[in-house]
Amino acid sequence: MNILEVKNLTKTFVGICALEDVSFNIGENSIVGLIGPNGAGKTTLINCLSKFYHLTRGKIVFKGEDITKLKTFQVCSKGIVRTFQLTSLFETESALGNVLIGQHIHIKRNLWHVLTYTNREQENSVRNAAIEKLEFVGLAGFADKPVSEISHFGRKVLSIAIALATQPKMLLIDEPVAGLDNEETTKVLDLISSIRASGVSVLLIEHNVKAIMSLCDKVIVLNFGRKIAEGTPSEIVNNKEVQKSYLGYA
Amino acid sequence: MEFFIQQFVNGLTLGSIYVLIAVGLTLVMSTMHFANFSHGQFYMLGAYLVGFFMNSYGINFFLALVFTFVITGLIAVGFERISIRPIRVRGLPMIIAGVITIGIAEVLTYGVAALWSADVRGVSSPFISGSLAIGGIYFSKPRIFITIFAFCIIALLFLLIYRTEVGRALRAASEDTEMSALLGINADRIMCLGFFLSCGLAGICGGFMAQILPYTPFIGLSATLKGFVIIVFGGMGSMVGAVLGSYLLGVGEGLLKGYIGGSYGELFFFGILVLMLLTRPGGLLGKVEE
Amino acid sequence: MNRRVEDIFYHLRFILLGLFLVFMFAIPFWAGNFVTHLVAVCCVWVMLTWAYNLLMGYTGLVSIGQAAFFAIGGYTSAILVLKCHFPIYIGILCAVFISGVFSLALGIPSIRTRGIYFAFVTFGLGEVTRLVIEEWESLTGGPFGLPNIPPLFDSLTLSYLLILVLVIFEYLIMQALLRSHVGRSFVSIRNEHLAESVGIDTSHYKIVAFVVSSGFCGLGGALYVHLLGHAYSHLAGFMMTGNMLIYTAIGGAGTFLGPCVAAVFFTILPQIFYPARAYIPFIGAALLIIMLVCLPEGISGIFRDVTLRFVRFLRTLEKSD
Repeated sequence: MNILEVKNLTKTFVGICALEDVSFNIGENSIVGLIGPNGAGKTTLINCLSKFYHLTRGKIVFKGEDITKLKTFQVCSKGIVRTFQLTSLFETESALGNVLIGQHIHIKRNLWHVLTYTNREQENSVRNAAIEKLEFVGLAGFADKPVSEISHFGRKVLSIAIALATQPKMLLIDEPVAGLDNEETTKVLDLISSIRASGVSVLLIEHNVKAIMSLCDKVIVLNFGRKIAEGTPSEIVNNKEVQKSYLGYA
Repeated sequence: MEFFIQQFVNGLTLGSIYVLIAVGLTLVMSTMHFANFSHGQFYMLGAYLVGFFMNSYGINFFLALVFTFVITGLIAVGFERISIRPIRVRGLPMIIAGVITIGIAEVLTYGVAALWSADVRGVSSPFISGSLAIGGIYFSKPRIFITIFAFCIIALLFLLIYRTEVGRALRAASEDTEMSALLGINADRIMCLGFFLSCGLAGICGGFMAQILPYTPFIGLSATLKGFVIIVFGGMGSMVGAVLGSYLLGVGEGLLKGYIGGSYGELFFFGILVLMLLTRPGGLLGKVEE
Repeated sequence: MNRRVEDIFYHLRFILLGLFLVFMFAIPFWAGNFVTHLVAVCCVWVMLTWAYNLLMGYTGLVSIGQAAFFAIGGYTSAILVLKCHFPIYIGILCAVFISGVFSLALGIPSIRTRGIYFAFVTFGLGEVTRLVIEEWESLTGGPFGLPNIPPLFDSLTLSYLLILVLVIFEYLIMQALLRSHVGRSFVSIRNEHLAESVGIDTSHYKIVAFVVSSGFCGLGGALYVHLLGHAYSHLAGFMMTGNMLIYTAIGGAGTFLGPCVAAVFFTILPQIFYPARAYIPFIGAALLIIMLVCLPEGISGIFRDVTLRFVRFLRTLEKSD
């Protein structure tokens, strides 16, 4: 069963074709890698899938439903969430505050309870759920720390925690291990594994070969906005076209 | 028909005044990425300074304009160095700079009111007066003169921006500040220059305006508002749009004033603003954004 | 060991708050009319400043014309009461309602577009409202305004108490909102892309914040004109919005106590230094610039830093026991 089907996705900006006729499927409970040289259109693709961009042409079907025409904020309630290449957080809040904001779509939003101060119970359960998410990504002791005091690694996993707070069925992660050392990279990769184990499909943009080889069931390769290859990690590594686009020769 | 032509020409005069304001505002918005809410106050300051030089020292109009340009520009740069530059250097959101300019606006307004009193000032020591008859229709000489002179100044400015090294640096800094810094353009100095030019222009504009209209320390707000509407109308980031917008809206306001009267000028501009937001937020010539 | 210090502060805050509330309710009973009236005006300014703070301090939306709603609220109530002879409480309710409707009508086009357009539109709104009030003489009495507006109650004491109760009401409503998903959504607006990616409809919440803020400005306006007895066009002016902005920024955007203190301070100051009162706006504006550059967290930031240092000092004393 495919959780995501992308058909003939094309995205042009004025004078530039960033993505051309990209089609692929992602199966349930799988981790798919998205690789390609810089400028190939990987982040653009994620922007299109999460409806941060309008599509010029093409169709996106998620869990059998056509989401091509949705607005940006509507995508999350369907079950897709993304992270940002440049780690994006709510800088004025604590780590817990960040995750609490992420839980927005799962809060029963009753204005009357808010105004009459009778939402204590719900707020407590929401808070506990947020703490659970922090524990899941390994930030248990950081709940009340302001974001400015968290390390680069902490920020990256925090952004994943925020995404997980939306209880997604699919996670689009943009370069989760950029700038991390070996130990931190391993931790993040293990985290992504456990995310898949909990029933969430993952589309992963990465340059790190080890990450791709160890984690992904399937890899899609983009170059100059086109899909040039699709297959298992070992197939991709031996693919002549892929070698040419990355290294300049086959 | 004659009335229409007269009001049309009045509108062109207004447009010329607006052009000097709007172009300066666009310059600052594109190179420094914040909205200068005190722009109109430099315009107001210019009116008072020109009057001051001409009345207290008997300096002729053109020299007074030069002095005003320099002094207004320097005061602007002074404010920029102490308040706006720290914001930029610390990487804080530039909206804070916008809020700071609100403070600058009030400081200038009350500063001028304290120095020169808040009374309405009339046209004192006019440079040119009288009217000119063309084809049986009478036109006010000061207005014609201002229209032509403002046009010349704008032409000079465009020459500076599009045909000189400095202008190229300004344009580069507005397109991509980081990149131009990498290419050796001292972004800080260029922005300083841009701000100097922008507010100096506003000052000259005030000097012109003082030749034909009465003024108080409180005229700044209206000027700033109209400036912003013109930028939105013409398209943010587009100098040509600012010029076009200034004349189009100036003529519109002139005709409106002639046929309906009253102080509906601001209402007209505000209506245009809301209309643009509802229909075409990018303005006439603005850059299309995702 | 550390808990002792924290517990002391926690209980101290409640005791102080309780004492303060008693003090505020008792004012009309021991202070003269002049002081009661002044404190009532302070309360209205606190109401306005908190309304402005909701917008600027939490969502980050800077409105340069909130005073327009202050004036709209004031004039709505004044006109309904003076010309249509409605009872005052209807005038006030309508003031809030009309302010809300206007802000909704204006908010929808300007909030969906880029942030700076919101600043432009609100900037224009303040001035345009003032001009419309001045031009539309038949309705609003023109530049001279509407005199002889009846007070809220015949007794100044009751008027004051009503205003005080409404300010407390505003505080409770805002705290309720800000500690819930609504408040978190407001805060999320500061990073719109991230907020949208987790499913928050930022446009919706911006409009909510704008309407709530404007509604309270309208309420403040209605209370103010009944307190003053007079409505005039400059209620919509840049100066008024400038004041709200200055009190919020100097007090510390995003907090309640700081802006409250700043509002009270600047409202009382012209009365203390009566001969120099024309210079107060100038000082306020200069202070705004200085604060934003040097002490962006305002009075609240200073207060918090001082308290932090004091607590640390107490802790070092405890440790040396």
